[in-house]
Amino acid sequence: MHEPEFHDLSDDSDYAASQQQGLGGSVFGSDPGMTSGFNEREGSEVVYSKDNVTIHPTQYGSERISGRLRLVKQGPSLFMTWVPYKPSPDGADFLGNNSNSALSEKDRNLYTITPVPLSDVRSVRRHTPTLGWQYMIVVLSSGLAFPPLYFYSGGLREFLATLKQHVHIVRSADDANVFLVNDFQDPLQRSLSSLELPRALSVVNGVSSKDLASSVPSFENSERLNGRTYYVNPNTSEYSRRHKHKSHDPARDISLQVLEKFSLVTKFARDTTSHIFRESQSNSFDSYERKQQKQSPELIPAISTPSEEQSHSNDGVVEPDPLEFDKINLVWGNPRQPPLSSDEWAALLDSEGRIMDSNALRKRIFYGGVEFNLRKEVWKFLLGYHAYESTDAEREYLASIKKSEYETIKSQWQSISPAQAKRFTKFRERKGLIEKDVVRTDRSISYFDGDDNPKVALLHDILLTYSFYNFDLGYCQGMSDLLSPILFVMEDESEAFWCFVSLMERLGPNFNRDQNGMHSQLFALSKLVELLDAPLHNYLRQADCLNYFFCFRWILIQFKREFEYEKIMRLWEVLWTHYLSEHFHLYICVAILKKYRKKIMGEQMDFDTLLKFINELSGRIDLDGIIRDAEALCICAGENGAACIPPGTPPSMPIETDTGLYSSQPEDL
Amino acid sequence: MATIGNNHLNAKLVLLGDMGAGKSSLVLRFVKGQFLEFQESTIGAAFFSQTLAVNDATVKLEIWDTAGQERYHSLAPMYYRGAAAAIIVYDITNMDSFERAKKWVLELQKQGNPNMVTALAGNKADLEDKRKVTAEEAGAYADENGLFFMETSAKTAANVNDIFYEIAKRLPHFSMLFLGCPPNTLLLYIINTMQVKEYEAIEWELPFRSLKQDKGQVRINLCRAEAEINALSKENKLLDDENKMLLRWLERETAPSD
Repeated sequence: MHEPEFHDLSDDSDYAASQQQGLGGSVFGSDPGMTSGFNEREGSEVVYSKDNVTIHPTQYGSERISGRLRLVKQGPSLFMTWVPYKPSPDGADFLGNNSNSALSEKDRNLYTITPVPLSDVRSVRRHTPTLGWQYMIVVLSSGLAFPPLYFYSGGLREFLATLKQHVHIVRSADDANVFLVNDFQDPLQRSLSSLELPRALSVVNGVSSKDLASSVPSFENSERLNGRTYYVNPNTSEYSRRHKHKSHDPARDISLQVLEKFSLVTKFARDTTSHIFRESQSNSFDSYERKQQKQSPELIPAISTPSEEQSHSNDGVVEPDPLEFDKINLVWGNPRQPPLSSDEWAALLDSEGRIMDSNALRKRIFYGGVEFNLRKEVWKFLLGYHAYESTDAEREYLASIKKSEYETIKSQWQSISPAQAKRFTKFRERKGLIEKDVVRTDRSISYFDGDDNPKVALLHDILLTYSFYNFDLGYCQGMSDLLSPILFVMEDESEAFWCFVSLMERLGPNFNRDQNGMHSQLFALSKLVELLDAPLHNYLRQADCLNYFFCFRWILIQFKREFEYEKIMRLWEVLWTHYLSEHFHLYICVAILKKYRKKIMGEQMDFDTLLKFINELSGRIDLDGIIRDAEALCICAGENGAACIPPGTPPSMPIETDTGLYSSQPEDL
Repeated sequence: MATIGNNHLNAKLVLLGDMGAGKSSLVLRFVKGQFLEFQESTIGAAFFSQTLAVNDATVKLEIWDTAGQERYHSLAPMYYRGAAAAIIVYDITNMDSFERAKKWVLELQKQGNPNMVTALAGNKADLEDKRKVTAEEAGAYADENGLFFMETSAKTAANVNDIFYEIAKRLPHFSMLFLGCPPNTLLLYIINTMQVKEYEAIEWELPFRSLKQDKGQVRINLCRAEAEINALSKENKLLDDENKMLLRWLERETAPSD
C-alpha cells in the first residue's frame, strides 16, 4: 500500500499556498498573445479542424464540453487550440447531447485551450480503446497536461498526420502510442515520469516527491480528506473512524482506495478558483486521474493500481486476500429515510401547485422514496410526464388533453375490423404477443389476479395502444413488466399510458432489436466493475464473463423481477430521481455484485452457474442496504464512474436522428 | 460444453421456440415438478440443471431456457453454442409457433453443432380441442429432419420426463464429451485429465479407439485411456494442424451410429 502518498494529496493548505506562490508553469495566460506569441490578426492558416472533440470535466455523464480542435499555422509556427461550443438555445449540441448547457461561461473559459505553440508541447499520447472513443493527452514541456480530448467524431489519426507534416515528431521507441514532439535529448522516461501523479504534484508544489513522501499526514488529516471528498454524514464518518485501521476496512479495498485519492484531486481541482486554475493548470490533474482510470495497467507505478495488485499476487507476493474485503458489508451510504409524506409534499408546493425546489424533492425521494398514496402524483413528475414548474391547473388541463389523445390512438387499433385484421398480419401478430404476455404478468398480485380480471385487459389495451403510438418499437417482452406497477399506481388507463410513454422515452433503447441499448449498459457496467472492484473484474475476465449477460434481466426491466412488488416501486422512484446519477441502476448492479463477490469468486462460478446464481437472487436482495452501497459506490466513483458510461447510454435520452429512434426491420413485430 | 467424471457426464441442452410455447413450463416441470398456469415470460435466459440416471451412468443436463420473442433472437447463439442437445418447442394449438420451430431447426442445422441431438416437442398436448398442428404433420417433419418428436404437456406432465430421458440416451456418449470444445480446449482437457505433458499426434487414435469399443455402454473407462496415453506420450508437441486433424477424426469416429 502507498498510504503516505495518498495522504500527501490531502494537504490542501500546502497545495493552495504553493498555488499562490505561482509555482508551476503556465500556459493559460490571460493574454494569449503574450503567452504563446499567437496573433489572431496576422495571416494564419487552419491546417486541421475537428468538431466534436470533447472533454469530460465533471462527475456527471451529461456534463461534457464539446468543442472544436484546430491546428493553426502562423508563419513558421504551429499552434493548437480547442474552443468549446457556446450552448445552443435549447441546450443541446448537434449530437443531441445535453452537454454544454450545464456549464457556466466561466467553466468554458476555464477549459478553453488558447493557442498553444507546438514548441511548448512535449508529447502526445494516443489512446485508441477497442470500445469507446479515441482520445489523446497532450503533455506540455512543463510536464503538465491538458485534460484528455475525446474525439467523438474520430479524427485522431488525422490530427497526428497533420502534426507530422508541420513539426518534427518521433514515435517513442518504448510506447508506440506516445509521440514525442521537440524532445530529442530527453528520452521517454522523463516524459512518462512527468505523467506520474506524485511527480507531477511536485512540479506544481515546487517540492520534491521525496519531501512529500516524508510528510506523512496525521490521522486527522485523512479524516478531513474524507470530509472533503465525500458526502459524509455523522454515521459514516463515525464508521470510517472506527474502522480506519482495521484490516477489513472497506476503504482498504484497493480499487476504492485508488479512487478515493482521485476523486479528492478532482474535487479539489474543481473547487479551486478559476484564477488558480489558469495560473497552475490544476486541470492537468484531471488528465492524470483519467489516465489512471483508462489505462491503469501501464502507468503510474507509484500508485498501487488494482491491476498491479493483481500481478503482484500472481507473482506470489503475499497480498491481502481480495475476498477478505467482503467481510464488512459495504453499507456506508446514508441511512434510508422514511418515505416522503403528504405533509412534506404539500410543503414543497407553492400556492398554485408548482414544485418550488425540484432538486430538493429529488434528493428527498432518492433518500427515502414516496409514501404509496403520493406515488400517483409524484411519479408523474419523476417520469417527466409533468413538468416540475407546472401548476395544478395546467396539469389538470394536460390530463384532459392527453386523455383524448390517448383515446384517439387507442381507437386506431380498436377500429380495425376482423376482416381488416385478417389482412393485417403485423397487427395480429403484435396483438398476439401482447395477449400471451399480459395474462402472465404479475398474476400473483391481487390487483391482477383471478379469471377475466379487467386490469389484465387494461394492460393489454395500453400496451397495444403504445405499440401504435410507437409503431417502430412495437411490443417487446419485458414491457408488460414495466407497465404493471405504473398501472397499479396510476389506476387510470390514460395516465398510466402517458407515464409508460415517458418511461419508454428513456428505456426504449433497451428493447432495440440490435440490442445496442443493452450492450452499452452492459459495457458501462463492466467498466464500472473494473473501476470499483478490480479483483472481481479480473475474476470475471478469466471466467470469460465480461459480457455481463448474467445482468441482462436486471437492466432490461430495471430489476423488476428481482424485488417484490412494494420494493420495486421504491427502487424505481429512487432510480427515476436521477439524483446522484442518471445511471444509478448500474451502481445498483455493481453493489449487488460486490455484495456477492466472495461467493462468486470463492465458488469459482462459471457463466452458467453465475447466471443461475444471479437469477436465483430474485427476492433475496436487501433493497435498502443495496441502495446505500450503490450510493457510496456512486459517490466514490465520481466522475471516473461517469466517464465509464458513454453518452446516450439508456436511460439517458436517446440521441435523435432523422431516421427515427427505433430501427424497424421487416421481421420486427 | 460437456465434461466428464468417471461415470458421470455433463451435457448442455438448450430450449428454443416461440414465445408462449411452454419452454419454461417444460423445464420447470422436469426440474422442479411444478406447473404454473401463468408462468411468467423469460427475460434474457434462465439456467437449470437436472441429473438423470441412464443405464449405469449419470448424465447431468445443464439446461438453458431462452426468451422466445423474435426480438431477442440475436442472443440465441450465445445459448445454443456448444450445446450437445436442443429441444425445439412449439404449441400444438398455434400453427405460427410450429412455423417458428421449423426456423429454429434450420438455424441449428446451419449454425449448430452437427452432432447435436435435437428433439421437437409439441407442447400443450392437453389442449386437444384447440389443436392446430397434427401429430402426423409434425412427426413427418421431424423424420425428414432427423429430429425425434414427442407431444408433451407441461400441465399434465405427459411425456415431459420422457423427452429429457430420450435425449440423455441419445447423446453420443463419447463425442458429447467434447462437443463444442475448440480443439485447444480438447487438448487442454486431455492434458489435464490424463496428466500427459507431451505426446505424438499420429498415435492419438489408439486410446480413443479403445474407448470406442465400449460404445455400447455410456461408461467410459478413463483410467484405461489414461494408461494408454501415458504409454504413448512422446516428446513432440502437437501442432495446430494436427490438432485440427485430431478433432476431425474425433467427429467422424464418434458420430451417432443408428
